[in-house]
Amino acid sequence: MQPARSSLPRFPAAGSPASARRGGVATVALGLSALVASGCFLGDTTVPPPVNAFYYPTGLVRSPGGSTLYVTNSDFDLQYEGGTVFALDLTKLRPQLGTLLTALRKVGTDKTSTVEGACNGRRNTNSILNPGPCLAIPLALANGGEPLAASIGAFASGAVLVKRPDTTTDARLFVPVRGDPSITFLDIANDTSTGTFKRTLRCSSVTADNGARCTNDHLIGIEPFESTRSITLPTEPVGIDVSEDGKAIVVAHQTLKAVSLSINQWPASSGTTNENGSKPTLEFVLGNLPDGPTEVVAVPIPKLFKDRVELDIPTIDYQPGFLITYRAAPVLDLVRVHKSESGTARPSLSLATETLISVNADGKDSRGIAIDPSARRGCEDDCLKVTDVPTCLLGCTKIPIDVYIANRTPPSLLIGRLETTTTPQGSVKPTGAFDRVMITDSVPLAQGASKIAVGNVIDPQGNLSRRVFTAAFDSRLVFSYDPDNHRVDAIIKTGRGPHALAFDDDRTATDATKAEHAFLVIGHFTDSYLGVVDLDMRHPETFGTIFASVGTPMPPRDSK
Amino acid sequence: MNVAPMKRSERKGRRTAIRLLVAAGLVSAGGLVATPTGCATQTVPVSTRALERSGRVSFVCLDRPNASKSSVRPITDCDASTVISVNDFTANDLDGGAKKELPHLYALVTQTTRGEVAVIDTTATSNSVLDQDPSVPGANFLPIGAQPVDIVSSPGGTATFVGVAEIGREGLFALPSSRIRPTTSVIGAGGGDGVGGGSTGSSDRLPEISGWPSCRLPAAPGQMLLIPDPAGKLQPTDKPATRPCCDAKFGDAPDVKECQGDADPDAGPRTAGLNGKLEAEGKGRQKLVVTIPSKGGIAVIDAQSLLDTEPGVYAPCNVERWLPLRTDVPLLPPTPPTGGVACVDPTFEDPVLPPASVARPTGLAYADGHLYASDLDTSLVHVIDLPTPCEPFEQPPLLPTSVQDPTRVVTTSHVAVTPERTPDLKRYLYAIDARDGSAMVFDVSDDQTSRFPLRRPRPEWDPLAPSDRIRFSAPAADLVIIQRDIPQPLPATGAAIDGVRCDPTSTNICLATSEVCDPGTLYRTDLATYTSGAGPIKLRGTFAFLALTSGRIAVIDIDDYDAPCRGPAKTSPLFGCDAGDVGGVTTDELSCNVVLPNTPRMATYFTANDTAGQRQTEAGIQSFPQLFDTNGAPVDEATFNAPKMVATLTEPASIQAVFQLSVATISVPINPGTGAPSALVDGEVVNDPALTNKSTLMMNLEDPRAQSVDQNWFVTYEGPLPGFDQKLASLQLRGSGAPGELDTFNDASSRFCDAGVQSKKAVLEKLGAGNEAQAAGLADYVQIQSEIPDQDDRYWASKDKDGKAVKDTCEFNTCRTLFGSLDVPASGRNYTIVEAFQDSVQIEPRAGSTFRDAKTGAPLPTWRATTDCCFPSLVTFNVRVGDQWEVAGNQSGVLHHVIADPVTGVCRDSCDPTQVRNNGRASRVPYPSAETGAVREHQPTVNDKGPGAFINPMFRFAVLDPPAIDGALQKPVTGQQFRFSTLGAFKPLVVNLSTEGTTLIQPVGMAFVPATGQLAVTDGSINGLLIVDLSSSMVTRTYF
Repeated sequence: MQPARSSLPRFPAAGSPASARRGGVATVALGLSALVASGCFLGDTTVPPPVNAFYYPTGLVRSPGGSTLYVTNSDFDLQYEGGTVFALDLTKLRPQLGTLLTALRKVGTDKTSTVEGACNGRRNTNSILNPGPCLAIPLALANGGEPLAASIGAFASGAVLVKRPDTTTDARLFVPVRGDPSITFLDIANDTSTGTFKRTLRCSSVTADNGARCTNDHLIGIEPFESTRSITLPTEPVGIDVSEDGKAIVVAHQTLKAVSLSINQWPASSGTTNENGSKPTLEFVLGNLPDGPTEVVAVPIPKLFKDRVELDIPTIDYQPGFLITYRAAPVLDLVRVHKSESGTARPSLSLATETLISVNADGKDSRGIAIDPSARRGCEDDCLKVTDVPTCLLGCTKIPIDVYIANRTPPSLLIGRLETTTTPQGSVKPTGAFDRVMITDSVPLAQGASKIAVGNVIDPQGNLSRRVFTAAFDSRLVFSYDPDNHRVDAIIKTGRGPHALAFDDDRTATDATKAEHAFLVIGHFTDSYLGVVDLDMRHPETFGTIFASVGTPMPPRDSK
Repeated sequence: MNVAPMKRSERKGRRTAIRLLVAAGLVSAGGLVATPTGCATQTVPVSTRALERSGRVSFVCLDRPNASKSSVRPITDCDASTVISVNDFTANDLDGGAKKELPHLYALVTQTTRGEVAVIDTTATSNSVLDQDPSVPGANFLPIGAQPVDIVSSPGGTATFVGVAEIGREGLFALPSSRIRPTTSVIGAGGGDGVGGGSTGSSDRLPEISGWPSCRLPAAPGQMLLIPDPAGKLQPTDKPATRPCCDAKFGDAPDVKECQGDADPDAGPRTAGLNGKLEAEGKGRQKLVVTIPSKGGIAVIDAQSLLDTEPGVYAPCNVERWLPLRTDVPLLPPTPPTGGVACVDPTFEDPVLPPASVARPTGLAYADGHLYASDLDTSLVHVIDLPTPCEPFEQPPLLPTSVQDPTRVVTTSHVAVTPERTPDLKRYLYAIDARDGSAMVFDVSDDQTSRFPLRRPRPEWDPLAPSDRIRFSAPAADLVIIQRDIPQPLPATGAAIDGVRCDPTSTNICLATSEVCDPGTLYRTDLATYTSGAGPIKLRGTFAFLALTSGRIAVIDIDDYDAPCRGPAKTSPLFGCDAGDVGGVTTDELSCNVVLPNTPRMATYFTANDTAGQRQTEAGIQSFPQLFDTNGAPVDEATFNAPKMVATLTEPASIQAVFQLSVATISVPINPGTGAPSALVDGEVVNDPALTNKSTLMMNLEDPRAQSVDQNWFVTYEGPLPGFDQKLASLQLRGSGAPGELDTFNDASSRFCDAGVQSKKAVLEKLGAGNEAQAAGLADYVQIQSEIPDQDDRYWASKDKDGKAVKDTCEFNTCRTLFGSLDVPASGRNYTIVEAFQDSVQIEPRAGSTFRDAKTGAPLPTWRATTDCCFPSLVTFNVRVGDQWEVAGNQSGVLHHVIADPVTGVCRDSCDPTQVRNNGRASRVPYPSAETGAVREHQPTVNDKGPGAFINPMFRFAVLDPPAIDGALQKPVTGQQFRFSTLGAFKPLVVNLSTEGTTLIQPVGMAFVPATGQLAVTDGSINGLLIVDLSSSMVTRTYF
């Protein structure tokens, strides 16, 4: 699972809200931090958030079947009574992007083609507000009408999607919301089902209106009586991820030196939203961690013993793990989820290992984190073709998982790996296993490194090839790192405030290593729109550029 | 749509943004924030910075621009002289009066975000960063396309070549030196090292990307070198002549058909020589040797042909030679088992080689007709015989491996080779491990006997460092090897000879009046001041410099000419000396291995001599070890019913003259007969009543690098092993006796073997059969640290997983009686570890436990059910060492050499002989005699190889039990603890690049500047280019 994981970028501090609104994009962000801290609250709690425009987007998640792009909007300047979650119809958007891209690629090779013509007369002239060659595609046009929407609390900081394992139709979207604070979850349809797919976005048992507010029965951590430990969600939930089996939800709480554990439970009946007793519950808060927990990523469980771990069979000592980054400490932590055991025991988290970050000058201020288990996963998939599957899978556990972290002191991409050791060595039915994490290298980036994601480009031969993308919020850049060649191989110029990242690459029907197209979608926080980047190296004329924008860019209020 | 190059206006906008953003970043990083409560902003001034994400650097030496003649000068014509202005090309003659021409040294620095090359006039001290277009605000540099990978300048300064990896536009660019300076003479307003204006250039065009000679490569280039194809002799005249291309004959014209290659027919006519003539530099026909990583080979391209290419065409490069590199990694020989008693050999498996693929060469190094290439994919360092660039032939490769992890496929990212052979005709190649950034060293001399990385000769002295590589806390991003000297003139002749080794033994000393003397004596340290002569920061010889990503440059000794004069005046095995060490007039340091080839250089003198001042380091302790009781209160050293720490004694007696310990940097003699601290009276060691009762120890001085860090040490009787504080384990008490039904304590995250756990069975193997009771006592034990559930917890009224009422098995009061509380624990919490595995330990109630029958000592049958019932959930725990002293450093932890047996999985000591000093347990030493006087008169002595002797990499000692009372042996009390702090840790010589304390620094490249003898370091963050002076090992200038 490669869900979107995001948190709001850290901004340099600033002063009063009045001066902040005068000072432009960065200053607005600065001022808003100050607003909350100083109690100078100016937001409007009576105006519903717009359902026809992005508003400080912070999270992007593509559905597993590729039909939908979920976008969380944060209402960062509190102009509305909350944020929103959109479900964009990619099947409507994608043809428009394809047409535009084809036309743009002709420019320069076909003497009759012009950018003006490719843009259908809507050529963009404001490259600061919108870096694409054409004016943005309005949201309603891109989506074929207003997107499906739901209202949530303010300051959503990301989103993660989980498929229900025992059905092919259900899924959930978990959104950490700092304004409540809560983990708001929305029941959605799993578009990998072969049956008829109907886009849904349900988080209210009261109303189904588009844009309706999510009700409390879709907010985790609000009511203490729902928790076996009578606890509520700590403040400032930011980073989030979910274990592969969709059960354990771990959230970093930025100001409390803590991470929380919630347990997801599915309704007994497929397709229902939230039956009694099936609501996910907050179970545990692990405190006394270093300052500033920020981002979370789940560690995949080796296939050799995945079933035993997920079914909680006590013949294997291995617990689902999550990696945690910190803003104020030069460490990377691995925490583990302990499931319910005998007696009064309840699910809990424990700190398994702490890895010191010493590969750059300071090591503190880590932001986004992503892992790339594709080498191990590929090996495990190939094991299905051999006769001695356990021995093959044992060999796969020895393949390390690549770990990538965006760090700011100095701005750098930290590179590491997670190694799994089984005990006893060589046993195809190990009694235990543990992970070790090492951070081994650092690659310079530009100011404001924040979000990070692993995706694919299409290489010159048409094959999908792994890249690590890191957004540099302050510098308006996204860096593409080539792990094979150990270097940054492309730098994508973006609009203001690039933050959330998502990929859209649909594999060809005949060869899973190839794709018809590969796009990177960048959520522009500052001006509230999405930029779409071409990742097809076979077309250097458009590769690595934002060729289209979705949603009309809208600068922060009073800062045009 | 064209995405590159950026237009000038776009670059301008981008730079303006960069300035704002850098400013914002600096404010953030520095913590200078406005106060939110005041709702007011605060302006913070910051420096403007023109350079950002610098890549690599090269240098050219240029004279004053002159339209009528070339201003190109050999790089050696420039020196470290400076002037204020970029337009000032004159300098005062050394003799005063007459002016002389002063060429300027220009650094060309790739800018990886913008796809440009910045030009910096390092001779000018003001406005050094040249703005190519002052009419456009901000600094404007030379555009060369996105993702510049490497840059190299011809030694004569004619041109500079840049490899560019822009996707879809991979290629090479040539920058003629005649066009790298701005065209107009406008001095910028910036001061200091800010962005400057330009000098008068010779071109009438502003630089554009299409204005450079260039060619297209089939894929992205890696590192590149300029290597000359030397001139041959024409027959019959024997006149030297070059060949225009590899396939032509010497003396052929440039346009012979053999040199046409696959040239693009659309390419325009070549402008031969218009951009400069490389052959005029006198180095033959220069060839660009370029790695093409994704194609798995090395290309040879004629540099002059590229320089003559018509700008803007971007035709395919004419690759004269293409060398695909080998990928066949030979199967490594298996490591023979080391054997040993009660120990196991580490696992050995062949590296899992990836499926056959192409090589991925990246870094290059060249010396003496051999080219070396690192490889990111294949576990080889390629060796290419290269008598000329036109005749490449691959030789058997070098084989990077890892002793610590022999199963790993080790690949490399960078290589560097010693430029000249050492006086003993050795040549070394350094290669950076692509995974962890450590450096491996290969012997590539003509008489080399191994293709594997070299190993340190005595790895057991410093077992914490890998024996086959040099590793720092941060990886190396780049490396260079430099040979330098600071020759001293002979008094009689004034002549200075290069490469003279310091001579500590000659009596023919060079004085001011000496007619004939041994020049090696000129380099001895001035022992009156320690300010001249051989010393830690005086670099004479061959050294490697590693640019660490943490913002430091580390120095490695390869061949220090002054090494013979660094060491003790009198040698001793205690100082790590061998028969070849002679002492003499040396720096009087406490080890013969202060300077050790191919190890990190020490930044200080390793001496007790205060004259060395701030550069003095001596391994020792802050104060004598102090005993504390179980409540943490200090125990009076005159209390005889307490344990005592003593120094172990060394044989033979002949070396005992150097038996001393540094305490608070004061040397205290240790009585070689008793191991007690003593006094020195008239050269004799005599007992000092004030010191005799003090606990003490001895420091290890063989290799100063073993003193890895100053730290606090705790020697605790039955102390807890660190690492289990936050661990949670499950109790699986199923000891029915049936196969697989064991009583275990499980937690894979605890990694019991890695923590050094020692089980009863492991001890018994060491002691031998028949010692079961002693083995049980010495075995580690688990101590449960969880509280039992509260009395009012609903658990006591619930049912267990089998449906049985909990109260039928245990009740709160029963549990409290058996286990006590955390504040007052009962012995029922202690369980001996019978056998240990990485993920679990087998346990049984410890001797003396409430779960043992008081008469028979046998475990009570109820212990499993009761323990399981009283602790229904996961438990927290300690593991304590049994009946021994645990030795723990607050930085090192508890050292040990326990590994998981690769066959059985049990925890056992490793047989690896290099690990013998990795110890963290000291045995008790019985004290059979009673003491009744004022001082201990019957104190036993312990030989450092005898029973009870403890040694780790840093120090050695023994701990005596309390003296016997009425004939009865005494033993320590659990929790009694000696504490002391070690001083004088090894300080590696490093250059801190963060001159202003900023964390925004990340070196990415290095180059040695022969013209100035300095090191140029490029910063991938915002500090542009830094110049390091090798005489002071400090940053002397920064250009940003």
